[in-house]
Amino acid sequence: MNFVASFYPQEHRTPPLPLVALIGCSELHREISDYFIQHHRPPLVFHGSNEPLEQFVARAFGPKKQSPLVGGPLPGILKADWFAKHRGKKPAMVVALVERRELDGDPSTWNRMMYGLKQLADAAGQRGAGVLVGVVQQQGQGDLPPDRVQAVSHNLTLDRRLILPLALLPPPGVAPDDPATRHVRDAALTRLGRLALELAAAYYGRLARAVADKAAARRSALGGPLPPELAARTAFKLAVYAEFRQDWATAVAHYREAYAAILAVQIGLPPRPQRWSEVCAVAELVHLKLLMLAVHQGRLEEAVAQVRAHLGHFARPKGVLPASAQGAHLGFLVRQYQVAAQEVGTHVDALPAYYTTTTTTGAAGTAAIGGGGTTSVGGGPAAAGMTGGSTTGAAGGGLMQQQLTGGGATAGMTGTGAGITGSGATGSSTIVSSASLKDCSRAHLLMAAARLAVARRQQADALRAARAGGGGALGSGSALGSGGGGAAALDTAPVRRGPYVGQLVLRNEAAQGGYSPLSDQDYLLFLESEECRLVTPAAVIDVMSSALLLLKDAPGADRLRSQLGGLMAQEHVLAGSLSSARKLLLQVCHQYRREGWLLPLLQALLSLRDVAQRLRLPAEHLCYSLEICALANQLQYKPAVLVPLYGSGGSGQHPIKFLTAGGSGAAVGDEDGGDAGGNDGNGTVSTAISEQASCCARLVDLGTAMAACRSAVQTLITGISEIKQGIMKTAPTSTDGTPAPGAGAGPGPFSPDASGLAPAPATGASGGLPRHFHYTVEHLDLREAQRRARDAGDPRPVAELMHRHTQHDYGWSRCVSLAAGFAYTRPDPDSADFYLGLFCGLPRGLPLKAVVLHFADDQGDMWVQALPGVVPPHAPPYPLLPGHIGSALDSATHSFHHLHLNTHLRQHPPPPPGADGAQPDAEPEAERTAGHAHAAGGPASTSSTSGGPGEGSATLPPQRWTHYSARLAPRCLGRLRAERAILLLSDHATVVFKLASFPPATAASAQPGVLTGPLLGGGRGGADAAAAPFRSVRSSGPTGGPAVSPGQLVLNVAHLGPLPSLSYGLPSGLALLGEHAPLLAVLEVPREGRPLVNACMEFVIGRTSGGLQPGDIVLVVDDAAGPQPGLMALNNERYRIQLPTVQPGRRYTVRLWARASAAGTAAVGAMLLCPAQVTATATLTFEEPFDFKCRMSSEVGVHTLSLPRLTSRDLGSTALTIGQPVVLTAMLRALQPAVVEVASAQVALEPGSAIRLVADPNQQLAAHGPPPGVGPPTGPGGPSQAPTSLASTLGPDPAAGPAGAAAVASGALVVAPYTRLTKSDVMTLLLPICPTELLDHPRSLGRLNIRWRRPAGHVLLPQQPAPHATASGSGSGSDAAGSSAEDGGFAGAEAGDAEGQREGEGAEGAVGEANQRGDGFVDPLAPPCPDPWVTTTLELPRVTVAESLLTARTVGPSAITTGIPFTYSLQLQNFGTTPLELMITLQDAPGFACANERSPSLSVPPRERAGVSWQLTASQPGHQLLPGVRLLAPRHNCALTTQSPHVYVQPF
Amino acid sequence: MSVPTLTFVIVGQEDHPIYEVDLTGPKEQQTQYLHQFVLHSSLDAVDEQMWTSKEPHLKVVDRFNGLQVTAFVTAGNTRFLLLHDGRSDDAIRAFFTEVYDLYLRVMLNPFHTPTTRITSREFDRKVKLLAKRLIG
Repeated sequence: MNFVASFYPQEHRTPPLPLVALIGCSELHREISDYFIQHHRPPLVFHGSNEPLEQFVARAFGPKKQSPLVGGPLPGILKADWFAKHRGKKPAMVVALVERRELDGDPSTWNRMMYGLKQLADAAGQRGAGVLVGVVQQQGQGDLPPDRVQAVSHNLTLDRRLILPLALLPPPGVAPDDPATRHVRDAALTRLGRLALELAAAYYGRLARAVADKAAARRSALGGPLPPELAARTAFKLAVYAEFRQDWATAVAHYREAYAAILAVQIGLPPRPQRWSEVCAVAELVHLKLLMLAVHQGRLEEAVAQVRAHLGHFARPKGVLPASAQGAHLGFLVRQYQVAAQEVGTHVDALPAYYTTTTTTGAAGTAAIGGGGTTSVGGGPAAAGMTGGSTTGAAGGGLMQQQLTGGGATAGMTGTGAGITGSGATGSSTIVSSASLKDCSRAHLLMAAARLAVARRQQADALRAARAGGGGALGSGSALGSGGGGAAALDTAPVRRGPYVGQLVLRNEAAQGGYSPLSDQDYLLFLESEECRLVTPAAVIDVMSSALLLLKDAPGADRLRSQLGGLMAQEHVLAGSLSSARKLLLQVCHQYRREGWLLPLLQALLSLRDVAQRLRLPAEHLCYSLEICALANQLQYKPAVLVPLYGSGGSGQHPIKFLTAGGSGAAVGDEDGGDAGGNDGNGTVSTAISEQASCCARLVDLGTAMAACRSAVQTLITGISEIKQGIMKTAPTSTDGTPAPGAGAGPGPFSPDASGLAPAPATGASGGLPRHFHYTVEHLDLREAQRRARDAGDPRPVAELMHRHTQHDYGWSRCVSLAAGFAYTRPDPDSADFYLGLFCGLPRGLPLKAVVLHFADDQGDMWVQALPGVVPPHAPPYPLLPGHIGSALDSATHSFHHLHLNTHLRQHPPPPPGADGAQPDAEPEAERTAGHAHAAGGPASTSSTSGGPGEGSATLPPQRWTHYSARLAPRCLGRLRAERAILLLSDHATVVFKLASFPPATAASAQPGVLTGPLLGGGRGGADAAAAPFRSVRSSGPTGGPAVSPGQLVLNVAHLGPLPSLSYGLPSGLALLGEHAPLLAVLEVPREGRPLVNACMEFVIGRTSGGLQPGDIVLVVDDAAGPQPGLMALNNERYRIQLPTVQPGRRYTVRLWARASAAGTAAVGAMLLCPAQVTATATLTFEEPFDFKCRMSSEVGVHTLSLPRLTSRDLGSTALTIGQPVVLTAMLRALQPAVVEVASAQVALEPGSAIRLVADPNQQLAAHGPPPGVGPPTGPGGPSQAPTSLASTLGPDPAAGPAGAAAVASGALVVAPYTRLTKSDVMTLLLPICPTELLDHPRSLGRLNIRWRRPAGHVLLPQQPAPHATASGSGSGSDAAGSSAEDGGFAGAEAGDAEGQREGEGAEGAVGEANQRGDGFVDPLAPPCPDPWVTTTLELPRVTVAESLLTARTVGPSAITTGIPFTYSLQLQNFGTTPLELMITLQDAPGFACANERSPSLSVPPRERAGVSWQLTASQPGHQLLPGVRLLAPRHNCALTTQSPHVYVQPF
Repeated sequence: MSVPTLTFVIVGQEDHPIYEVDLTGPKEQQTQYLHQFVLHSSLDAVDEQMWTSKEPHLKVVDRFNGLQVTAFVTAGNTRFLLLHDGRSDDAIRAFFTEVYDLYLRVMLNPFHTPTTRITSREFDRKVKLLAKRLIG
């Protein structure tokens, strides 16, 4: 909405343009004027006149009225038509258009033309207006004749340049729209416009000087400053003339000057209404000009300051205006706020968060006004710099106010405009937050306008009321009053706008001029009439709608929108559009409710209750009444905040007292008016909301709240038909000043006693409406719902979204808050406990007949009645209510079913006298009574029973938590959901909490499940109590921890009945690496349990340690009941087997074997899914069965000279030489205390290692170990399987001989059949090998596979676990991990029970009687079973093979005698292809003497043999070491020292 | 004689007031409403302003006629709002800083949640003393 266009005429809202009169050549006027308006910049207004010359001269340049210099009081400030006169009637210059032929014509034509021009020039010259002669000619006619131009100039005393040719006419034969023609024409008009601007500026400058001179003359005549009215008028005229000259800076300065003068106008005390209105109107005009000039110059800070100052000055008159004038003034203020919102607020909203502004220092501002102060019109102190940029921060308003109210003007009265711009001021750029201008944002300004509109409407209402009550006195004696007595019939038709701005006159034919001034009384009467006629709620709604329209899409204005919505709803109520009011109020209430602002919520609720009453919505009315009572009660308990720091009068008062004091009046309006511009709106705004605030006064102190609550509660008991009748009887118009029914003093008319109506019959609700009160509390995430609606292109308002749900909001939860949840632990697997906490926020107790809980599972719905207190430990599950009764409970038309329901509900007799919070644990379940409070500890526990209003029903005590609980038996597996909590308040009132709709927990709620935690804030029963609604409910166990899990509304029923037990049977001995260690997973269903149907069991390898990885273990499961019975091998994966049906009292055993490929400890987990999870874990330790050592040895005395290697020798590898036979000695030692039967050993040489077995291992190799065992095993896998398994491991052909062995580089060694090893027994294997190829890098020789098993009689057996004595209810299962000794001992102790249990095992048991030995062990070899044979692979050593250069072998005699020489020779053989030059040195030996040369040199040809001999003589008998020989091959840089054998030297 | 306006409110994370005190004197019911409305509406401005400033002290965030709302936002999105009629910003900043210290002490209480109303009398007393000393 364009406020400026609707409020102000065009001459006020647009800048003035110089007016140029056109005369002559009238056919060209339209074209010329259009050009100067549309194309010329700046635009000029060319006004063509067809009047006769004399008439035009008289109108435009007629004689000026003479006004006395000094007179009496001025009749007005600003003439109303002055602006229009100068913009439309008084031209600044005249353009006389003459044709070229007239200029060139004959003397008669010339004389006629000159006569007219002379007359025109003379008249214009008298008024100072300019004259310009335009000679209209065709294009291309050339210049004007100079002599004729000289003649015209001389005769008219006109400058020659003001006689200009206007080639406006196209040449003959050329269309006027030809572009070339238009170009020439435009050029001519541009020249004309330039001259016209010049002349107009000179004209308006002359006018300004004249006005200034006149003002100076009057000032000198008066001997002092001008009267403010005259000063304002003078400054205004100067400003307008400056605007005509487009000297904007000067115009701003003069407008400021005028504004300051207006503020100084004496209005009187008390202010005269007419005078005040005139001043306001003039100030409004000047203010508008200032705003528009500042905004269009981009000086937003100045505009904001002007708005603040203007609103500050005129928010409240100094003194008290009559009521009608006050209303009119409020209308003035509304207009100011709306205009400011449009002109300034739009730009403020467009500002970024921070913007740069220029701040002018104070010194500069002072300097800038130095010249102007001496000639200031107002005579006041010099103002600060006018163009000094903005002020910042909080002091902005006040500072700018000083600037504006200083009264000085920087512009000199000469009107030249010099020094206005403040160019001397030094500015500095400052970054300012736009938040400092927040008060001038559109939202805030329109909000203020809306409040003021409300205040104006209230004022008008008061006027109407006064008139209706005998206001005829106002009109008696008045010229306008046409009737006496009663309501005055006012005729406002004769009232017209006066000659001055802001004045009104009365049409009076008898008076001079036809008008007479209005007397003050008539003026007030006129205002009163206009206010009563025009100011209606609809008008206020229009004002608010414009604001709401703006705020609707404004981001981050939710709260402001709520505030405005509240105000608007009030007006809708007054206007009778109750549905609109209700929609608005619902949104407002939702906002305040959600954010917990109680006072605004209270106000909105009161309005909403009134609306509900007038809309005939008794249920809503009742809800809001109760919520208001709860809110008032909560405010009562507000902590000691808001207690003033100072002052003593109100220190002890409570906020509710302030609310309920009433009649305090608009005290804020009495604030000091001189208190700067900041308090401009306080009084009016306070007045605006006074009515709304006063409605809160209807809710008086707590006693009244109690009475209202009692009335509402009584209505709940008796049914809402009474309240409906009460509403019907209430006059719909009783909105103002009429106490709201039901909430006023004392019991409201809704109570049967007060209404005087007999209770309606149960089925006969009048009007067809049910008498039953049914309320559903349902959570609705409005933001999310709104977002979804917006995404779907359906921008519905909040109220409509709420309407789509069963109830409008969950404000009921302020009356009764609810927390709910299942118990942490189930008392037994066949039942579940559900707890409900109810907090009554009302000031008095609420009747509660019963609480019914609605659950749902896969089989459907079920309803169960909850009983107060906690569930006794051994109480059976509560009986379910019949389905048809339960399903009717949450429908809105179930009053009939209440009668049937009464027969199903448990009756709770009143508690015995004096029973105050009996301990629930100490009493049997049958004695639990409704309202019997659980008071076991905790500050917010429930109270004792108080007498309820209904017979046989209890009362929910106020401000305390009351606990209800129910125990129910789940009917099936799966999710058991708590859907609803149905509170049967009476036979006619039901409140349903839709538990499933509430989120499980939010950050707002201190604890999950507390539905309205934050809304309860404050007070004793507030957030603290809401934080732990079940704090006092403790579990019955020894720990005594919390029993209830608030917010857990879904229970996953995984099992019904006692849980089966799952245990492990561990192997009786130590598990060896590689063997299948048997395990038993034994499932036992207790006798009192239910058959285990469709259960399954999962196995998984759990945590490992000691170097064992989960991937190293293979778990073999005997899946006997699966679709494909047999063994399933699992390697590091989860496996699930299906279990057969297990009857109660039976056991089911699953056999497992675990085989590890690395030593360590592993946990084998089993999980029974029935679908509850029962777990058992077994810990198995796997040990190495053997210790393995290898040694390699070659032939004695043979040495090889090898080339040195480039690579460093690898550790752990043995260097061999090609062709040199080596014997590998493998020693196997049994490590563990277990008997192991070795069947065979297989050598698997590495194919790439180029190592050959020297001979058939069956013949060449030998094994040396302990004696063979007693014989082959007698087990099922024993002798019959041994050859087969042996043959299968021998390789392709065990009889292939050395060639075949070499081909595969492997062979098998058949040790002595079934050699048994016990702990520390060693078995030795010899393996002659011969390297045949080079091997530079170390490589393993191969592997030695030992095939073994436990012999019969020493088989590892799993223990049958002991049966569970009682069924364990724990779902955690039993951990069977433990030492085998413990298990064995336990098994032995419980052997009898085990026997008993085995009797109960059915045919479906996987372990039969035949497979079970009498000592509780299970035979692991019973089929099906994995292979009992174990192949242990041992790694042979790593070797390298080098090429041999030379073989050296020392040869000596076997018997030596002392003193007898013998020959000691060295035999050499060169294997290489090059001759070897050797330096041979026989080393010293202590017992021998050498006869010949010790160090000969020798050359050995390729592939040849050579030898060196020494004659040695032994000198000492005994064991002697023959001397070694050192060979050195210098060319190959390698050496060899032989190791000499010991010989025995015999004595001579 | 007009009564100075000085109302202090701590608004919790869920936009609901958890502590409010009138630091000057008793107000008429209209004024109480007016203050509540102004403070509540200023939350819009605080929410807008807090994202444009790195400082917790947001200075004047909203104005309503002659009333100004100065805000302080804690790291936990708790807002301190002071409704006043033109007090010194430095004094208000000092007041906020001191109150923040007190607020942190309250929050150190393990039984106090950010949404719980502050009902400590000692906190109330100290806030009033701070107000009297710094901005009174």
